[in-house]
Amino acid sequence: MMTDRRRELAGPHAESTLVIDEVGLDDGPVVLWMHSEWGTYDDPPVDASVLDRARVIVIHQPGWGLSTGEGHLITLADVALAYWWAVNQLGLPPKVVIAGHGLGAAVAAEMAIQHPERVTDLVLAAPFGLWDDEIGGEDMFALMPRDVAEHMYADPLGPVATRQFPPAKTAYEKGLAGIRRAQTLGPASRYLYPLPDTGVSERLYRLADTPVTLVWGARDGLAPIALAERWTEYLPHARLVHVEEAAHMVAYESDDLSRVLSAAVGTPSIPDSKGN
Amino acid sequence: MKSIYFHLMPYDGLSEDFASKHRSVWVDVPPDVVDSRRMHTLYNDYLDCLEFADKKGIDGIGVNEHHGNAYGLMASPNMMAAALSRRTYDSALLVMGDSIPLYNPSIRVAEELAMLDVMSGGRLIAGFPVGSSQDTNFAYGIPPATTRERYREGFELIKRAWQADEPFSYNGRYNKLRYVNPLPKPLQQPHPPIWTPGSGSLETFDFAIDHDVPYCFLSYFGSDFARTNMQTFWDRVEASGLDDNPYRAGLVQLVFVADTDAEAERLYERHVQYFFQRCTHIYPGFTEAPGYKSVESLRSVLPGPHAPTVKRLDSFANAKSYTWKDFIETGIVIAGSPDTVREQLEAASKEMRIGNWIQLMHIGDMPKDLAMHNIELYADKVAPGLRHLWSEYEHPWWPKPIDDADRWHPTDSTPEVVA
Repeated sequence: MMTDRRRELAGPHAESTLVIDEVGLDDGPVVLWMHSEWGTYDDPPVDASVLDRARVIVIHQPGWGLSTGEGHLITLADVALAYWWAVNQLGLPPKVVIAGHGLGAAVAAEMAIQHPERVTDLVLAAPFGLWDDEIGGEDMFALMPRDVAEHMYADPLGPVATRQFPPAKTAYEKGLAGIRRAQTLGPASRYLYPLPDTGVSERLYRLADTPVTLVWGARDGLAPIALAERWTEYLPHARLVHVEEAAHMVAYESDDLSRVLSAAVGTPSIPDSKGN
Repeated sequence: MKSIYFHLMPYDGLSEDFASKHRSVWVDVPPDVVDSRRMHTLYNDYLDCLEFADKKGIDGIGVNEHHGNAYGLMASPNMMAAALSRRTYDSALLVMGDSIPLYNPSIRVAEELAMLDVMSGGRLIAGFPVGSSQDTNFAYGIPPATTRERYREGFELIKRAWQADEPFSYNGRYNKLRYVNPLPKPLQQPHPPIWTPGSGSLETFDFAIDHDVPYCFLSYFGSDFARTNMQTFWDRVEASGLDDNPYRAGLVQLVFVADTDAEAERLYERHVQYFFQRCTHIYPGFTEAPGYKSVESLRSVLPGPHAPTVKRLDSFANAKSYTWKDFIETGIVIAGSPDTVREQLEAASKEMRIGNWIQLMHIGDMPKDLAMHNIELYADKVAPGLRHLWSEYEHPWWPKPIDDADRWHPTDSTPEVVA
C-alpha cells in the first residue's frame, strides 16, 4: 500500500515526534490503525473495500523507527494518551473506529478504555494483553529469527512469510535479521515482557457498551486463539472472527480484517470467510 | 599486573549426553540435573579453593552471579563473599555481580556490598555488571528495553548512597525512595573500587569510560577473541582523552599450570571439554533478548554484504568439538608449564594492555585437589614472574584495606558460656 499522505506531529512530549500516514479517503469515517510488535509492513493491511470508504490513519509507534519519544511512554496507557493527543491534533471526527494488531491491538484496547464514548467499533487482531498459564504461547523474545515463521504464519514458506521474514542465508542477512529483531521486539519488550499480560483485564469493564470484534488466526503460536475465550469472558458481547488458515499475522494472511473494518465503516456487511 | 582467582561454582555431574537431551544449561535447564546433596560438598570445596588462593598470596579472589544456571550455581555472590570475608585476609574480594538491574530498590546492593566491605576490612571491589541477558532478562524478567536504564539509575543511586553524609530522597524512574540512608557506609571512602564488566557492547565500553572505572571483558573465549574488543575499548578510551593505564582493563581467561605442557594437557583437557561440551550448551535464543544491546552495537559487528561465512571463534557450538590443541591455539585456554603460562600471559597483557586478569583456574568438573594444585603452581611459579608487569602504573581501582593494626583478627578462643 503506497503512502498517500504523511504527517509528522511534534509532540506530545518535548523532542518527540509522532509520524502518521493517511491512506484512503480524504474524509469520511476514520479508522485508526496500530501496527503490531513486528513493525509496519506496508500498513495498513486492508484492501479497497476499506480504503474506498474510509480515511485510514496509520500511527507509527514510537520506538519502531519513525516516531520517537518512546522513553516517555512508560505504560500502554501513556501510549494510548499520546495517540488521543494525535487524534485531536489531526482534527479527526469525534468518533472513530480503532483497530490494531498484536501489541497494536493492546494499544487500541487501551485507547478505547480511556475514551469509550469516542469509539464506534474496536477491532483487535491477535491481541496481546491477557495471559493464561494453561494456554501460554511461544516466547517470541527467545525465538531465533530462523524459528519465528513457524509460529507466525499458517504457511511459513508461503508468500506472506517469505516477504515479511525472508530466509537469512549469509552472515550479512543473519546479522540484518538480528538487527530487525532488536528494532521491533526491543521496543515491544517495554510492554510485553516478560509475559504479555498488560493488566488490561482490570479495565475491560470500560468496554461493556463498545462493539468489539476479535480477529484471530487459529494457528497463532504467539497469542494462541484459546486466549479469545479469556477476552470474551470479560467482553461477552465481543464477536470472534476465527480465521482457520492464519496464524499471528492474521492481518496479512487473510482478508477477514478488511471485511470486519469495511462493515465497521458503514458499508453493507460482508460475510467472513466462514460465512458468518 | 593483578591476578584474580575467579570462580563459577559449576555443577560437576552433568551427564555425557546432557547436550543431546536438553535444550539449555541455563534459564530452562531441568532442575533435576543438579543434586543438592552434591552441591553441599561442592560449595564447600569451592570456598576451600578460594580461601587457599588467598593463603597462597593471589592478589584477588572473585565470585560471580548467575541464575537458573547449572554451570554457575552462585545465585548470590554476596552470600559467598560473606563466607569468604571471614576466612580470607589479604586478597582483594571481587564481587561481580551484583547485577544492578536485578535489585529493586538498588540500595539493597549498596547495603550488602557496604557490609562486605566492612566485614572484609576494606577489601571489596564492586563489580557491577549490567547482567547477562540470560540472567537479567530471561531468569529475572527485566524488560530488555529498560535493562540499561535501570542499570544507570541504580549505579548512580548506589554511589550516592555510599557517599551521602545525610539521608536524602531519590525520585528515579525505577527507584522512588523518601529516605535513602543505608548503613553502614563502606569502609573504603568515598566508595569501594568499582569495575564494570561487559561482553563487548559499545554502551558498556562507554559507560566504563564515562565513569572512569575499569572495563572487564567477560568471555570464555580467551585472549585471541578478546583482541578486537579490547582494541575497540582502547580506541574509545583514547578518543575520550583518558590515559592508557592498563589497570583500566580486565580480561577473563582460563589458566591451567602443570609441570610441563604435556602434563597440562593430561591433567586439564577432560575438564575443559566437560565445560565446553556440557556447561556452555546454551540455547542461542537466550543469548541476547531483543533490545538488550543497542542497534548501534549490533550494527558495529554486522559483516559486509559479501563477507564470507566464517567459523566464529566465539561459538559455543563450534567449541563442543575442539581438541586441546584447538583450545590452546585459539587462546581460549592458556595452559602448560609455568614458563609457558607466564610467557603467554605477559605477551597478551602487553598486547592488549591488560592490568587485571580474572582467571578461571577451576573449570567444569575439576576436582578440588587438582584445582588446588593449579593454584599452588600459579602462585609459586607463575605469579612472581608477572608482578613486575605494569608496576610503573598506579592502580587507583584496587582496594585499600584498613591498617593491619585496626583489623579484626580471628582467635582460637571459644566464648565462655554464661549461665
